Amino acid sequence: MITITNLEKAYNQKVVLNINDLTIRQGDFFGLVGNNGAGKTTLLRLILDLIKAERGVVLSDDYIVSKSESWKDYTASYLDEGFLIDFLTPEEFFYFIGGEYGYTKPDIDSKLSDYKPFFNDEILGQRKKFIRDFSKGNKQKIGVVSALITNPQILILDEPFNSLDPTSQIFLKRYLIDYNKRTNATIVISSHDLNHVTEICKRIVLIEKGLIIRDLQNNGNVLAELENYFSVEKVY
Amino acid sequence: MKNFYTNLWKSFIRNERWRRNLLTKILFGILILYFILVFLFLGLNIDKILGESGGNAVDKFNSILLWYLPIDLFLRCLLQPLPTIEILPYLRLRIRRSKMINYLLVRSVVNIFNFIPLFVIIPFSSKILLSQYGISAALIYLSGFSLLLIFNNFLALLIGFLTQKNSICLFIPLSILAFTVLLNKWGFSIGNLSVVFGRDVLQGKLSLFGALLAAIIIIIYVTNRFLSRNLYIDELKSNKELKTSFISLGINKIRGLGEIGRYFSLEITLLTRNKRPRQMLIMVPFFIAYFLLIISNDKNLQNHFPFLVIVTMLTGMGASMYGQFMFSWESSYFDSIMARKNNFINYVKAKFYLLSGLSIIVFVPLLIFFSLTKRIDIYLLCSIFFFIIGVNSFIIMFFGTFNDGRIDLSKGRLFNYQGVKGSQFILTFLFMLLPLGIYSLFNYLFNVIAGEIAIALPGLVFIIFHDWWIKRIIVPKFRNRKYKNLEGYRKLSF
Repeated sequence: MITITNLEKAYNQKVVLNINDLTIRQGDFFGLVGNNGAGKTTLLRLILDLIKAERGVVLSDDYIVSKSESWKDYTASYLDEGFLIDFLTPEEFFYFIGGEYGYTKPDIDSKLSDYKPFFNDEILGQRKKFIRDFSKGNKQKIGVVSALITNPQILILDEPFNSLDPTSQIFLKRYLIDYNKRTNATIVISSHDLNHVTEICKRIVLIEKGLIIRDLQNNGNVLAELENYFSVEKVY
Repeated sequence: MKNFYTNLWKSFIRNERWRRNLLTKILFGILILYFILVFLFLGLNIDKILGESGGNAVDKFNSILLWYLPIDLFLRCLLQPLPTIEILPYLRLRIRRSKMINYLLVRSVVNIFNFIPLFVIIPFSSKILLSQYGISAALIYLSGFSLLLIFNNFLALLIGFLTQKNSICLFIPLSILAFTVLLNKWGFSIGNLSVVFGRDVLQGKLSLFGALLAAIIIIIYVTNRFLSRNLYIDELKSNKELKTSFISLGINKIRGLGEIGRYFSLEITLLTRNKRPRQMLIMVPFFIAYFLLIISNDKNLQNHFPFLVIVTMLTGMGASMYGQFMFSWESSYFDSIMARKNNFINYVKAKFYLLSGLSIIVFVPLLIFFSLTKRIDIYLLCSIFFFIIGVNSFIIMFFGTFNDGRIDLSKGRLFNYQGVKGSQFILTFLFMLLPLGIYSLFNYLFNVIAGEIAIALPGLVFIIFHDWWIKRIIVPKFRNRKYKNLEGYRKLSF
């Protein structure tokens, strides 16, 4: 469970994020939508304690994320290519991360076999091809899987569907829905693709200029409401 | 075409380096001014310098010419930046390939190596040549010298491009230099040869000028051909790496040694698979060989203080070059290190072991050399070594936590100032001389043994208690600065 209270982040006195009260419950499949610059990535970085808030706290279960590090034991994330160690081969990278969570090589190998259709024979078993030599889409796959293989109870992904081909998008959507059901893990994703979010998320929060504008349960007609918001209020 | 040059100008004045803090700017300013003044002083007083040493001043000057050229070529190949990255954005535009190649060639002439010698050569021509040989000879000499500079410029450029394709080509200038040294050793006096060569330049010997011009044209032509076949994004960015399978094997062994082993092997892969750290480390054996070559000529000096300075610098060099960018090396993925479960103390410890390892690699050949030649007291050498591994590692790592500059691992070339904080850079090097200071003090007050103990003891204490100071000082210090550093690492700069 993630609890956010009075969280504020500013750059050069300009407030870019201000969230008074937001609770993401255990087992939530949480979608964050908003235009560019709305504060989606800023919020995710604050949850992961990668930037410092001007005020307020983020609680992960009972841990204050900026004070404790215990939350890292059950949290996995992939925000951007900066999360990849790009001079390693994909296997070396997965083993390295697996090692941090106490998994042996065979453990990781067996986990990786789950993602065979996702990898489409393009990622594993390529000796001497470092992550930096892969295409954008394949880097995205490596990054997302590097978060998934640690069996997290909280999974945080920023724009996970970016650069993915249609087959991989569908695979990932099904996988995330199934993972959420199977393990009751909390999943937080951000996206500006309304279709993806409304298709898989149980709860959708819309932020704009750092503020929460809508907090919706996904009950069928959310897509229409969101499209309505983004087209009517913003453009005309 | 004109746009290229306006953009070049813009990239110069908008360069990130001007936005650095004031202290760094002043330090770099002083450094540049210092070099200009040194050369200008040399140039303006050239008549006195040459006059005092006796003999014909012009011949004296000429005698270093053939030494200067291979050294200049070597330094250019090591230090001069290749302008290819600058044209990446133009490749997709409607600009003809030949135009871009021309730009690259012209651009390469704007280079400090072509201007610095002019501070010496122009005063030389105007003060000495003009009075002795008249204006036409002075002008001929000046143009001949400029041709030599241009020859070196384009040769270095070609070698630079070849090196980018295959690192082995860096040995071309090195072997030219080595060949010159050997030739001199075998009895062909380079100095005498140089005097003859210089006279030919002064007399404007047509065959010499013609050959030089022809060589320049051929080099430009070859470069042109090479670039027109290799001007592609993937070639320019060139990911072709040296075969590292041998190292990979070792890495797999280390990786098996638990958590610290895993972090340590990550550091080793970082070092060996990326251009910038690799090029930095290539320099270390070169410096050692150079130093040993110099002192092997001089047979009578023992425990000579300048030796000690150089030995100390050499032993600490690898560690301080690597260590002052402690976390910056990993800036491109440091966010993920902080967001993931890990044992940060062991992570930092692995860095300490790497720094120690770098010092050991330098120390072992020095130890063998000095135990054979007895030029420096072995106990003193070991004491210095302990101090550097213990105390200096601590100092380097402590300052390393303050470095929030981003480093792009793939950007090669030495003298890449990305991530370098001037003040810190100088401090780290000053601290390298700390053990000598302490040793000299105790040596002066008591005796040699007291001096050796005074540096060996703190060194050993810091080595034994590295666990403590990493846990209690380095890690908390970094945690304090975490957000500031992370912010810096995310900043893309060129």
